Amino acid sequence: MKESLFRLIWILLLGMVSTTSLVVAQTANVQASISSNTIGTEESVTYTISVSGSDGSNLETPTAPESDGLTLIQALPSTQRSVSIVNGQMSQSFSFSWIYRPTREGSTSIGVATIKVGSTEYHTSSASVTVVPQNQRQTQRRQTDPFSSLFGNTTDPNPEPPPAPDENDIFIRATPSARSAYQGEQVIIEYQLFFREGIQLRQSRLTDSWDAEGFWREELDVETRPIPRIVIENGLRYNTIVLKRAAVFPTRAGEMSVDPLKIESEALLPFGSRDPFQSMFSLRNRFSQVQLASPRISIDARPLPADAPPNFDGAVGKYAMTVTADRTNLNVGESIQLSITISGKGNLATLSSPTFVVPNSFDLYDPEISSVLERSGKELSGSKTFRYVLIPRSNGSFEIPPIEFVHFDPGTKSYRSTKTDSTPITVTGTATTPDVVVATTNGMPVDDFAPLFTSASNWKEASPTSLHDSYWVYLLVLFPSILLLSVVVVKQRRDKFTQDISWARGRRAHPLSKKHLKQATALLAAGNVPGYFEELERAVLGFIGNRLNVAERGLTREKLDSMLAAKGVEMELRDRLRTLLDSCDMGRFAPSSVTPENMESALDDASSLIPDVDEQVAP
Amino acid sequence: MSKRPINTYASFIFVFCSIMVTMRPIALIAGQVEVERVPLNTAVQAFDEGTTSLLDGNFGAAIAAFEKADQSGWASAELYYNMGLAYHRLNRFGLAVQYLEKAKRIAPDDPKILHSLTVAAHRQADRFSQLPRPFWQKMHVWVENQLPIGVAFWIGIVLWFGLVALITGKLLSHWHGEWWRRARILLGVSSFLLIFYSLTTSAWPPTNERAVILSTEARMHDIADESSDEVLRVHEGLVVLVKNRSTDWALIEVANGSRGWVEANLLGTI
Repeated sequence: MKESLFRLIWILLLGMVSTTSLVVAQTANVQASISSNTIGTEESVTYTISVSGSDGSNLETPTAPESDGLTLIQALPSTQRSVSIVNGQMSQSFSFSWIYRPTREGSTSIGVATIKVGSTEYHTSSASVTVVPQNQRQTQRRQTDPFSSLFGNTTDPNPEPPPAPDENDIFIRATPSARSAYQGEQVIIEYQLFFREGIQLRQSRLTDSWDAEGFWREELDVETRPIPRIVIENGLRYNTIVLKRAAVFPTRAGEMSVDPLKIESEALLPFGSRDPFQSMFSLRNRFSQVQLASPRISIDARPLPADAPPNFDGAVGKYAMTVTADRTNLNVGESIQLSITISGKGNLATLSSPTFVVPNSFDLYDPEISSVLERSGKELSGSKTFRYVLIPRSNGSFEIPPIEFVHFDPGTKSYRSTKTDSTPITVTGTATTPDVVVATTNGMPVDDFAPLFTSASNWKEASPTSLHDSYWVYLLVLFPSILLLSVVVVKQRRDKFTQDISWARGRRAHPLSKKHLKQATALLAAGNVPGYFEELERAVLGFIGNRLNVAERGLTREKLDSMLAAKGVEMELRDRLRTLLDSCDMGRFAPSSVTPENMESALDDASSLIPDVDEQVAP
Repeated sequence: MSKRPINTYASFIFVFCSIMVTMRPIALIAGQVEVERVPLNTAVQAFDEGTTSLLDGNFGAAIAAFEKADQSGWASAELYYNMGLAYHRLNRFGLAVQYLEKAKRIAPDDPKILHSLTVAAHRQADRFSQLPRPFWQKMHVWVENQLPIGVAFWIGIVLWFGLVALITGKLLSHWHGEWWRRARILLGVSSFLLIFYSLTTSAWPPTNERAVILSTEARMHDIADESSDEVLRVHEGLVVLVKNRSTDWALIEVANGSRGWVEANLLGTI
């Protein structure tokens, strides 16, 4: 019992000693920062020393550092302790702050401070401060009545504009992994947003599409909800987050540039208005629009060395290759899957398959290509697999020759070749499998397709037009209909000719008169005067008789005149007709008194009279 | 109410049919696309080349040659059968069944084709009972088998010409007796029925388009949407009826009457 008690005390003591040793052995991190490196003559600057990595038990309060152009407002620092727990690990940090006021304009500095953590002394670096006239710092120091926003003047026509941050308060830094690279080499560009501690950002978005002409680009993953990290830049404390990380690969040699990354955001500055009520009630208005752009990055792409091996196909990076065959013993007609996998860091998207030859009796099909890209790391890496299907068409022992993959390694600045061993393949069986299977009683193989046809007959159109889609079908149906319609029309016309004499004579009037006029012309040429005038009279009277549906024989001049008058023929036309008929009578019975001019005139009169009469007696 | 004479109704039908028959060829001629057809000897040579490759066990080359013959615009049962056999040797079961079925369409009684289809059916993973078809569909198929539409159409056309000849004789001569009238009615009715049957059967065949499942497995969906409920899962080589089609999807029916939508690119038309 006593021994056990001693052992327990001994263990506890050992534990205490080792814990103390751990604390002492811990390395503290000491940083000094100032609230602003440019202040007005009426402003003040806060100097802060932060200590992390210490539990505070062995920490001595430091004294404020000296400064020749600044005076300390109070010697005792204000202290702060913050505790954070990340992944179950608790950490503490302590800060000591002093406020200085300027005693003169111009550049000055706050000297080196010394702080003792345990037995170790730490020294900070000095911080530079520029003191400018107060009128240059108007937006920072507008004095306002704290009660004005509560008691009247709420509709100020010229409200105080929200203070805008300058390029020291918030900016984007673009960091390329290299300023000079080989053509095709991977260069990582990281865009970080820096903003002063206390600045609040909201509604941040990319304003322009980011472009990098002359580069193949691949995006790498960044935190979608990043936790800002605190860094000190030029003595000032900044929060920083990674906005974008991209892998770019120069596609040609030469000096090329990457466009700036542009973002737009709304920022709230903690050192804006000092009116507490305004700060409380018009928070929304105090956000100001900021537009940020990273600097343009220039990258010098160098051409690859000229001594490239013959199998080099443009692959640049750090790669390894593996080749696997899913089987090496198979039958004729079965397939082998040959997988070539290239893995490593580089531009996998543009990698092409290594070329290789297969035995002549193998069919090689186009590969199936799949890629796996790892974007979560600091560089783009992954693997690309080319799966080929090979089918042997004869049996025997074969060998797939070694496959070589050549790439340029920018790390060693040399071309590297990876070569696999040859792959032996054993193919058994025969090509004409159906010949060796057992046949059934009707000559067909058991459990296999019947043998092939060695000749083909009865060829036909592969896809003849359907019956209902062929136009000739409809024309064939339509043709008898048209034939039938024609027969009906002819039959009706024939019936009308026989049954309607008036219509038939009317239809015949023109052809008959034309026939008589033609005969009269012939008689005129032959010099037969009486015959000429007889035909002329027959042409005119025959036409009128047919039109009026009366027999022209025995038709007296008076009766003809009265019938034409009854049909509405004008007096002038009837007179012309009478004159023409008189001329015809004279020509028939006293031919010697007729001159050739009279005869031609009579023919013209008759030719013009017939259509005029036709027009006036037409129904 | 006056009773219209039968000739008036006949005239209406005649005019209506004439208009329809006139418009259809105009539309067809307007939309006609010239199909380039290579000479038959090119197809035969490609077939022989493919058969030689198939005998040598060079299945890839055989298929390439047979496809060349197939794309020439000519077809034969032997060509399709050999294509099916080549695909079978390459373990492309769905394509093998598709081409065997194409061969069967041309030569439905060929013992080699029937035997190979029986073997393929034993290897097919799905087993569905056959739903009896409605009697009218059976009758339509029976009539189509007994009287092919091409034959029916030509008989109809001959009778139609005969009718026109009889009507012409009546109009221009004295074929007015009772027997002439009966002959005209008989020819008119029979020619109309035969032409109507042949054209309608050509446009709406009694059996739906048939297709084969080409992928290892195909999911039939409730609606034409990937996220919709799964009705059934069918496998490579199954012959199905295509009831409807959209751009990317097809409504199919399996033998037991189950229907569902599958992606159209998983089907091979027979």
